[in-house]
Amino acid sequence: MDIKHALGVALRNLQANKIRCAQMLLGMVIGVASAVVILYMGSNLMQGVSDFYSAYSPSLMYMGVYTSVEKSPRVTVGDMEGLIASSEYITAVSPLVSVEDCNLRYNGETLADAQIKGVSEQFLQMKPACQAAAGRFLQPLDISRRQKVCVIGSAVAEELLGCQNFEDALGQTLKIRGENFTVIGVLAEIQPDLEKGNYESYIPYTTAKQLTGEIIAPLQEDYYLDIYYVNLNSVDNIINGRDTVRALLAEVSGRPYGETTGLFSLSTRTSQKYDRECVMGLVGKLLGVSGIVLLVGGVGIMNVMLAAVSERRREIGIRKAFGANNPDIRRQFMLEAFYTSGFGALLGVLIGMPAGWLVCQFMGSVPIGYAGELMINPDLLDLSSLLWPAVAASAAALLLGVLFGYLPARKAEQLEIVDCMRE
Amino acid sequence: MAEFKQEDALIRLENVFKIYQTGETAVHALDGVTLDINRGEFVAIVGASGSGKSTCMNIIGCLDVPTSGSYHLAGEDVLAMNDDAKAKLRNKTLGFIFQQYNLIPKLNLCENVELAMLYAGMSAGERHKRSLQLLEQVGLADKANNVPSQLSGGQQQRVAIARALAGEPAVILADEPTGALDSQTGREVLGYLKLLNNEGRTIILITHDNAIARQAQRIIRLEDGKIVYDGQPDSPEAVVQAEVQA
Ligand SMILES: Nc1ncnc2c1ncn2[C@@H]1O[C@H](COP(=O)(O)OP(=O)(O)OP(=O)(O)O)[C@@H](O)[C@H]1O
Ligand SMILES: [Mg+2]
Repeated sequence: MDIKHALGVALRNLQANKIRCAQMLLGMVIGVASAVVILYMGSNLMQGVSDFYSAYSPSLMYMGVYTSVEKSPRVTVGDMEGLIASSEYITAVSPLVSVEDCNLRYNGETLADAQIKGVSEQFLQMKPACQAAAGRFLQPLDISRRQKVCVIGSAVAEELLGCQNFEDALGQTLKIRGENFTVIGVLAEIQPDLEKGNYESYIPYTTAKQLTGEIIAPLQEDYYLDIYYVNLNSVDNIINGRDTVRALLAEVSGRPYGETTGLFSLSTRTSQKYDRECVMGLVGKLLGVSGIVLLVGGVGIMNVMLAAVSERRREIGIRKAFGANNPDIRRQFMLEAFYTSGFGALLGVLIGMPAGWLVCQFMGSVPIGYAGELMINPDLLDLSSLLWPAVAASAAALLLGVLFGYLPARKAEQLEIVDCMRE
Repeated sequence: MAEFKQEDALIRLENVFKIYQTGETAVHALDGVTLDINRGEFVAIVGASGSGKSTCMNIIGCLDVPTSGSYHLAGEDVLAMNDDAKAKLRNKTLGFIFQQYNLIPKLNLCENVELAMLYAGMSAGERHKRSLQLLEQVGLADKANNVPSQLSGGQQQRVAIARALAGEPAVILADEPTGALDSQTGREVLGYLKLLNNEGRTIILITHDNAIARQAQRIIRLEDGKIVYDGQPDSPEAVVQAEVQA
């Protein structure tokens, strides 16, 4: 059976029955278009997740150390840093002191999105993306001497200091919570920057602690909360790393772990996995809906093909009389269903690709994931992220077309010639 | 497979019955038909309406199967064949012409003529070339891209003749090919059939028109599914009395 012949016949039949054709294709078109949008959005979110985490060491853990204010000796930064030498799992430790309401100012202007974090020089091992594009990152002496120095994000240099050339920012003086800080480095720009990482600046944690004072755990006011980034030698040692710190807490407090101390720990791997699962879950649920629409579309194609078979009995009889065997007839109708669903898929893709792009332009973020929302990158327009959803959704539509074309095609091939030729 | 000898009949029906069971009554559309048709014959099948002519032809054409009896075509037992083998026979050995022309309305003339070649697996280019030649033979090459509804009945039947010839069939089966045509166009169609017969093809023709039947070399007359006459066209027995009087 000639594929081109079947295509010609299919197109002419589609053309001859425009209303029926529209009714048949509606489900397919909507199903494919929505699947393209969903897959496109999902791949965008997925890309955002991996972009975000690629800035960090894959074996990084975020740890919140809780210590009872009254009942317990407290783990010091020195104790934590001691683990680098004593534990085989831990390779770097940095405190993290967020300076809330940092009020970052330069020449009387403030930068609203700015964030200030107090860390140690080891932070660079945990977030390798924090390379200084100009100047340098924090060094041990900055920490021990509680220097009022800062390494600023590229957006701070550009927007607050107005420096196109980052070298010009070095040596400038900024105000953080009213205190003067000298810029010693500018960080390389993060691209894409969905989480406003370019607005983050870093100061020695020792200096930061002076600004913030003691930090009491939110909701648990009789506990101190000390936050650390801990880097492990391998992602496989997440549990070992956590247990090492628990053991330290027990040792320092002189009580079993958990009695007067507590540890909240989260590895980037876990949160990345969670974020991915959230995206997959969302995409899965939405695709389920598209799938149902596609199925309805498939049933539509089946119905129309069944009607076409009984309408075209005579044609079937004639074809058989001139030598078509059963597989020839079956193939013809399967090909017609295939072409029809292909046509629906094409329309769906033509609608779905721009629709997906529009959704990603205006949606901003989706309220899922560990941090409560995942950002959509409106600039993500590379060919593969646009193409594979189109290919996948079309493939599903074509498969359904063939599946639902099978029954009518079977019916067609089973018709007896004499029955076809009778009036 | 039995060896087909030249002296054997091309078509051999033996004691063929076709019985339709409708409720209580059984209609014997064919009631013990036995006949031989040789290569190159021009046979007309006549008989009153409902006498079983079409049934007989459909069985010869492998479009239908008898209830009992045997049928050999070119020495081969057709009733023992599977669907595929019968499709091949229809494709390569048999060519059909119907009363209602039965062209496929959505296909243009070329595509209609190409059907047998399509299912024989011929390439598109070759099919097109040959279908144009065939349309040329029936004088319709200039309308190759028209669809059947743009043609007169006589023209459509000429396309159907071209289509029947596409598979180079040894046997042409024509079920009242002139039935829907005026007598002038009918004679024209008959002329084509005679031409094909002169080329050596076996022609089996069903007709109600005694004038046309008399042009055949041999007439088979059916009555209630039985052969009541089989012989020369000039015998008074050959013609259908009821229709002569009508
Ligand atoms: N599918 C069927 N079911 C029941 N009876 C049938 C069927 N097909 C044919 N018959 C009967 O078989 C008999 C022979 O029919 P057939 O079509 O062969 O007649 P015919 O000689 O070709 O008649 P006509 O000249 O009207 O075409 C008729 O009585 C007809 O009613
Ligand atoms: Mg008849």
